[in-house]
Amino acid sequence: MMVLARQYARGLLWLTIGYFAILEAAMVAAILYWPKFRDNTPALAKLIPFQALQDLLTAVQQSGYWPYFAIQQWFKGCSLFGVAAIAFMGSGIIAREADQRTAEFLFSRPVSRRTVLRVRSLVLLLAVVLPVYLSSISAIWISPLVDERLPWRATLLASTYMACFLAMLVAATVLLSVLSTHQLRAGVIVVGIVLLSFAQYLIQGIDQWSLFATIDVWTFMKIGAGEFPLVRSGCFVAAALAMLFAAEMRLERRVW
Amino acid sequence: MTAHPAVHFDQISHAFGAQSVLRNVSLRIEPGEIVGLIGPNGAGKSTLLRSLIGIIRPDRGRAYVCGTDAARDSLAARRQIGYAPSETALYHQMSSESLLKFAIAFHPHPAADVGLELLEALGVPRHKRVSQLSHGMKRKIVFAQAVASGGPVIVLDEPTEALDPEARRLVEAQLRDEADRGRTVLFSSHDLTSVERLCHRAAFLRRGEIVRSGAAAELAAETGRLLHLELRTAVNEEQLPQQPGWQWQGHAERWTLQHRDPLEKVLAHIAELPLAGIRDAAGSLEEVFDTLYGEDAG
Repeated sequence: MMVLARQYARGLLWLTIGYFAILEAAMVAAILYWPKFRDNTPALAKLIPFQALQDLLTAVQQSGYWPYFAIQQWFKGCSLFGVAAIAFMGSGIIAREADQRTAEFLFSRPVSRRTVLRVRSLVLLLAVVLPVYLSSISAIWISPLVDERLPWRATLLASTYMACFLAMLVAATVLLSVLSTHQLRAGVIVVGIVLLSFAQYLIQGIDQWSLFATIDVWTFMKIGAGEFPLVRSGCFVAAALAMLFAAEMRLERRVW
Repeated sequence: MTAHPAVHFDQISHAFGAQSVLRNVSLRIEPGEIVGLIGPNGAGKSTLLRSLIGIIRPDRGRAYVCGTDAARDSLAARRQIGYAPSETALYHQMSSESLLKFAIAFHPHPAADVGLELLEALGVPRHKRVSQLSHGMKRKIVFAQAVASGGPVIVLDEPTEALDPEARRLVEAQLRDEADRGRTVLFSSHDLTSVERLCHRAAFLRRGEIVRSGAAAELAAETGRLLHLELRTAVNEEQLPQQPGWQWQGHAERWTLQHRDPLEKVLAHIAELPLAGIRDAAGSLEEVFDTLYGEDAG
């Protein structure tokens, strides 16, 4: 198990570091931009054409730093860079073996396909969510630079909620990768679905059915107020487990 | 050592879609035996080997490794097998040493030191990335990891392909040593000379069926012998002497005679031909191959 994890993690190491660096840089820039943003919020709100984004700004006007940080870090940063990282790293979890014709070599080892998939999925999940926690925690220490503070408990709970959301996307990517013979195809499908969902979020009337509606500012406002969306988080995790189970079943039967 | 055969294919049949690739293949291989699978491309050799390691599940029949059903308990079967695929697409970012260690780490009794010694003997740079190695070097890594897996059965798909003569000799010597230690070797090959030198037994596959199997020398004797004749003047088939069991192939000044008779008797019959040269091809697997496959092999 450790051999498998090490081998896969080694391949993801630099990508994970790059993903964390981008997430961190975007987060620091957003925090340092906060004083200017706060002073210009009413003017900015008038310039935004989409109702959904105007609502986000209204929330920032009413509640200040927490919704602003939630939008920047989780709604925008983690979902955007997180999805990119998942598509880039996760689409190859199995499809790459077919792409590079290493499947026979790997699956002729005395290790079950299920174990390979579980270990790799776990490593991928850690590679995707650890940077979310690390950059969110670092924001707690950076925020005083702009005379603001982030509560530990709410920050960790929000990161956990985001981790559940990303876990669902990780599992979807794993399933697509198991179904695909080309890594690129799996990656493009993941990014395509997420972009479509974001476009849907910007269209009034159908926005509530978008994936992004589950991670918008109102959700994080509730988390900031101490209401963790347990049911929704449970749904994310249940969906992730169901997709991983389907991926396992498919991988067991796949012929190389 | 167990009472079971090391490898047992029991009436294996398999098809890819409408194309049948294995038809009722049965073969028993005892511990310590070296057996070569021979056949032209598409004969079903690789598919048969893959049925042992769970890459394909036969439509009918069973494959057993030391008594373990390779389909029902694939993991347990694979623990007993050191497998070298014909494919040399490997994890290119790893060094040859780390790839070897990774490949054998899942086996219950891996012998990394044996693998590393083999890499050295075969001239594979241990710390070089796989992406920087030639096809032949990759083949050597694939071979070394199969031997170093420590399992009682070694299964190799085209192990001598792309190897230089020296490496080929080393590989053959290593396989003989492994068989002397009681390990079973099953491999597919197009290299008939290698099979002849190395194998206790050979099995010929044709269109998914085993058409002949047995000790190499016996197979060659069964097939008969070949005489290659060069004549001073052109003759047609009607002018050639005919005897029961004789078959002539060729034209004009060049003819090949396939026969089963003592050489003296044959020479007596062909003495009246305008002979310019004569060459006796001693009984070999190559002859068996030519006889069995004819135009298929081309």
